[in-house]
Amino acid sequence: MNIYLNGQLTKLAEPPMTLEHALALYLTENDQQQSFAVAVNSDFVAKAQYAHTQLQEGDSVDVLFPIQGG
Amino acid sequence: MLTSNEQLRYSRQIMLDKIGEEGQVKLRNASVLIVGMGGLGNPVSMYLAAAGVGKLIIADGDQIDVTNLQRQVLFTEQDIQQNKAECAAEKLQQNNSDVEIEVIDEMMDEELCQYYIAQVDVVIDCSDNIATRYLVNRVCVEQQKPFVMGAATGFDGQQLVVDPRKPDSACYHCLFPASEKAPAQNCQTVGILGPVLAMIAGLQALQTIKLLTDIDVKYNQLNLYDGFNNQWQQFSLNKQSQCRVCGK
Ligand SMILES: [Zn+2]
Repeated sequence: MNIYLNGQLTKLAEPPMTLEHALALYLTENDQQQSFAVAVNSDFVAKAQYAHTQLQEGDSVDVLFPIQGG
Repeated sequence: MLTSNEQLRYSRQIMLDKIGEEGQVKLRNASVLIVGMGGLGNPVSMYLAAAGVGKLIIADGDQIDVTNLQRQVLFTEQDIQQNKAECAAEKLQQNNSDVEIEVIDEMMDEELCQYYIAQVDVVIDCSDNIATRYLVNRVCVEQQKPFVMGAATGFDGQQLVVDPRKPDSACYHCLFPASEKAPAQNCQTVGILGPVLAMIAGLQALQTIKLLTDIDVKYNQLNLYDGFNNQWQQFSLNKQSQCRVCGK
């Protein structure tokens, strides 16, 4: 099963997979400790829902970090 | 109503149906706080002064440095070492002598935020750090003032309108819950191209003019600009009931 992770086609190692599992696998440890937001198909998913969100073939998962500058 | 000078000066925006004389009067009667007079604050303040917003309160505690000139287009070589807000006020006043400009020549803290946000119709975040952004977001939520967030580094920008007057509006903290280990990046460490700031600042100024003239503005929408691939993306968000800042 393939998803798009920040626009990059990514083959999921062990489908089916929850969003929580995918983030644990594909985000670096440093990234995971930071403040970030996740959108699936352009809709933000609340943190509490990561474990309950089943990824589907072709989903676009975007992980966003706050930009600091101005 | 408008004077004949105002009718002439602002004729190109008054001729827009959605603005009209009524909208121009609203702009003239409006007050806006701009937090940060750097790469975003420069163009935002220029467009709002030019558009005839009645009062601008501009805040920045920094001095102009030679490395700012590449993107902070209000400032010139002669302005180096001056306070950014003070210097910007002079330039903006030259553009439009009808605009009242108040300068805050220090960094915004809790007390300044509480005091100044209470006086304005819209708050624009042009700060260069996330601590200020969280502070301004929280005080805007407390005081129910619309908040126009913008940020940019590298080729990328983010823009969000928070409208606490709407019961379902998410806030910046809903989007990015504060983390103690948030990345310590700003312009000094990652670089930025001037026109990327102009894209985000232009959108912030536009959203502000719309808010002030009672045109519907989309909240709960994060606008993301990727200047490298020349793409805009929109993400929709929801108010988080467990948000520490705006939740119940
Ligand atoms: Zn919130």
